Amino acid sequence: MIKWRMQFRLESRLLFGFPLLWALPPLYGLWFASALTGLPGDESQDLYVYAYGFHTVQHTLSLGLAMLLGIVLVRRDTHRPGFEWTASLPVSAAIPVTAKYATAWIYMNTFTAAMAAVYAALALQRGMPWSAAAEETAFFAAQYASSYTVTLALGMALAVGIPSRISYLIGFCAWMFGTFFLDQFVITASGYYVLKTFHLNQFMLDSPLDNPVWGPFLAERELRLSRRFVISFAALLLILCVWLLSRKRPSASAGRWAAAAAAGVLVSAALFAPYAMLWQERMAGAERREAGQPAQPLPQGAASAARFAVAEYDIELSREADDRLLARATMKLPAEAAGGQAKLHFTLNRGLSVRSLQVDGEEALWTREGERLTVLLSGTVRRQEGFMLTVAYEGRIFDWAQVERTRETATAFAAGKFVYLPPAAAWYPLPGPPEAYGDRYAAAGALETAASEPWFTVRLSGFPGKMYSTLEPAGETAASAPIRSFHGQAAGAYLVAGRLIEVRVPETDAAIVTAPSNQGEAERFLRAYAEATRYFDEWIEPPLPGIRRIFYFPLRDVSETAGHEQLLIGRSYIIGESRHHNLDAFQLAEVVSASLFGDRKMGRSLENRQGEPPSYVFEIRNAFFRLYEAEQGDARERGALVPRFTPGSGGSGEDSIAAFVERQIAEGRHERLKRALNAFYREGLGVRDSLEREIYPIISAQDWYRVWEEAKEG
Amino acid sequence: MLSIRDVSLYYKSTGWALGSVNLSVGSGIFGLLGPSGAGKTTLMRILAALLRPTAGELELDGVSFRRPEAVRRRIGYLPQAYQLYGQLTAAELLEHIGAMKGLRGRPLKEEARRLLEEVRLAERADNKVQSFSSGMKRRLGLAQAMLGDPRLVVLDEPTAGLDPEERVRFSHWLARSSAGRIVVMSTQIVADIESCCQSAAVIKNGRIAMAGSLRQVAEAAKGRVWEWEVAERQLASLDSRHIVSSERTERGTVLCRLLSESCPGEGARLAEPSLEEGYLAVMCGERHD
Repeated sequence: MIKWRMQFRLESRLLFGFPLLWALPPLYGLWFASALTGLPGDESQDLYVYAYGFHTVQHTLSLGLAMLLGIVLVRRDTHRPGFEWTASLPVSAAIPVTAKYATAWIYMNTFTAAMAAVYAALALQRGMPWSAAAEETAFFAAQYASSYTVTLALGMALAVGIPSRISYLIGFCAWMFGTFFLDQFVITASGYYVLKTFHLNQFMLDSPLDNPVWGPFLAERELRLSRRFVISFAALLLILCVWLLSRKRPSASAGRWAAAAAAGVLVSAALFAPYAMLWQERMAGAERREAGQPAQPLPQGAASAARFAVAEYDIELSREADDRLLARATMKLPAEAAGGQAKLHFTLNRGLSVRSLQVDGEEALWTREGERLTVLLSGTVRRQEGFMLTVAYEGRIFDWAQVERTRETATAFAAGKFVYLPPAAAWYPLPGPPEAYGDRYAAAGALETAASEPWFTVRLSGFPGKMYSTLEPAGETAASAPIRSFHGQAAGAYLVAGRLIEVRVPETDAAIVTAPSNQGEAERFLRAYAEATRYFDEWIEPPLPGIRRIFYFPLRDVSETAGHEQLLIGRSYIIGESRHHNLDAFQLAEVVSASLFGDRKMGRSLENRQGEPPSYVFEIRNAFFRLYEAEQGDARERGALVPRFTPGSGGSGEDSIAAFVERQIAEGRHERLKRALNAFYREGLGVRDSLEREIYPIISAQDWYRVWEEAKEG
Repeated sequence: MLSIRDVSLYYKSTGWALGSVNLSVGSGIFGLLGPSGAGKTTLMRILAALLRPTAGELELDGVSFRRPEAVRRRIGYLPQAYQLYGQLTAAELLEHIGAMKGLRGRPLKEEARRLLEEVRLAERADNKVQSFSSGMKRRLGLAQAMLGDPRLVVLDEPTAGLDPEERVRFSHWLARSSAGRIVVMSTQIVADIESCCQSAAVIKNGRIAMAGSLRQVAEAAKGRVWEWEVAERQLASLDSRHIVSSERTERGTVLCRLLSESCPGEGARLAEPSLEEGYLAVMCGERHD
């Protein structure tokens, strides 16, 4: 051991005696800090997302240094004729190889330390809970260490195996191939995800790991298996180094090292096998799901018609220790649900198996094919006013998918503390056959146009982490195995759990459920939201619908969409987070608008509606915001974000009311304007979805001027 | 006792580098003489357990070179050209190498200090090696070879780069240090062998052409060394016919010693051969025999 210690001391002296190398880790830390501190104010402030983005590129650059260092350390003396005398010393080749490796590993991980120190400091400075900051820092640090572990070993192995200077060129190629090329052209483009473990930079360019809520933690098993293999592979490379160096000089131990290398190959293969099997399972599951997708999704109208109304859902969902879900869903169905048909089709996640099915308490006939659950209704039932359908089912949900051969995603899962069960996952029976939902994972908003908004009651048990839902919390039993309840009327129900925090501010009852790294941005958003809704609360007479809960986290990694969704479901609002799709002024206008009018219709789908009478509903909706700006002196001019067009006007009367409102505001007739707006608000300014199209109030110019006149007197 | 029996080495690229070398070397300083490319360094690298011979057996005090790890614990090696870790001080370097040879703690420090004194580097013990002249590095190299009291010391052209004074000091120091151990020293400089070796071998084209005591090597030229006084103008014609081992010019004539199978001319007389002339006789024997 003393020989190793002395060799390590020598290697450390040689490496750390080079002043430039001392300077690099702090410079790297400064670079990281500058990338995280100079965030544009109107972009996402999610520290994790920026940190991940930094690691995808800059960490790759540091791996270039690791590769170079691995080669230089070997070439510095091992291959130099001038240092051949060292081979005459009674020292095993394992000593210099491992001492060099240990020294370089420690050095490279000073980059890890610099990165971790910066991240932890900035995370805590931004108010992130220390446990969350520690968790994220530890994850990044582990990924760094894993990358350096294998890259250094690869560099050394190349240098030992290729004694000439061309090893530098080969090392450069290996670095390029093992990072960008492998990522972009082999793994992502060809779908060879099983090769991810060979990627030198453990932060791939487009990876679910960039999701702070689930990414690293949902992939815990994958990462664990990958890291085990990476360590064994790095060890194998080092053993190969020792073996090759032992062969360079007479040695009785060369045979033993050859045997060790062979054993290393076997160990690495044995550790690679479970990792490969994991991917084989995921790919097979994705292929099964894809094969089970309806060949021809129904067109929009037919799809809407194929769905039927459900009056109530009563769902009990429990999770077993092995992530198996046991569920019982009782649905109250009106008579028109059956529509006189003998068969009623539902969509239920492929991973869930039906155990029993009852209609009005009696066992009923049913069939299952892929996601399609078909219930055979008796004539008696069809003639009733309505009926109760109870489905007991169980299974696991982990829906991994590759999106258009460009990236991977997990569209639904319930694994330990990590749960993402959107309605699109059909974790409860959705009314209608699978083809009625089309490619529902690719369109997160599809369920907004459900046939009905049932009343949901959901009771959950066995989930270890804090569960969130787009439904309203309805209490929790105090027993040792608590049952959490949610209820509410909505088009669908989301269940969400993960590394989430519930951000609240004293000024409002609304909360934002988001990643810990978004705490500061969420607090600012909530305060701005509270300020706006308080203003409207003061003079709008009917109570505002309001938003109870805003879910804000990256959706791209848990959907097949681009992830830039905004979704109003019940009294919850979901915002898909990305760097440029964040809690900015536009989102605030959207959320306040949803809070005011109970819809998420900023008018996008209503433009250019032909053949209908003009309606000034959106100009009037816009007037609320203009008034807010005028009275609150809001320099951010959120009102400009709310469209003020006039559907059905054909351009003739467009913007006339809005312009009128502008004049009244300029002349200070705020109170009269409030009275007029209140009058319209009482009548309803919301836009409702129906099966065919959106329904909105038709407000003519005459209506406006009539109400304006009525509002003259207070 | 170092025993070398039928040792050969074949390189795929250049063919036989050594052919059936047989030597038996006891305690003391053994010189290996030969021209460049004769195979000296190859043999020295085999002795340093850096090369495995294609055939043959080597033993050091009964320990076969087939157990190279065991042999390495008994040898010290100074190659012909070498580099040292310049960032370390002389003391640190010796302590590192001593530790690699299995020395520990205070004995290691004391031996390193003693050797530095012996090679006259004690005052520079705490200076970085990169500040040393080539001669100082050579002396430091010698010190590291002697670390750990090796039974066999392999010195490949150890005096290369030393000035005349250092060469003399080296010879004296080596003579003192060789007590109780086998020192094999290769060189192209006969004077180095003369000054400190008890026996020597001449290696030629990868084969041992002659081995024995210095006297025996010298006597390889016995009866072929002539002293002859000639005019300066005759010298050029002598060079083409004989090997002139030395010449001294005095008052228009040249007193030269030359190797010749027969009397080179009138006035020439047989002389006692020196080691160098023995070496030349061995090396050029074929041409002149």
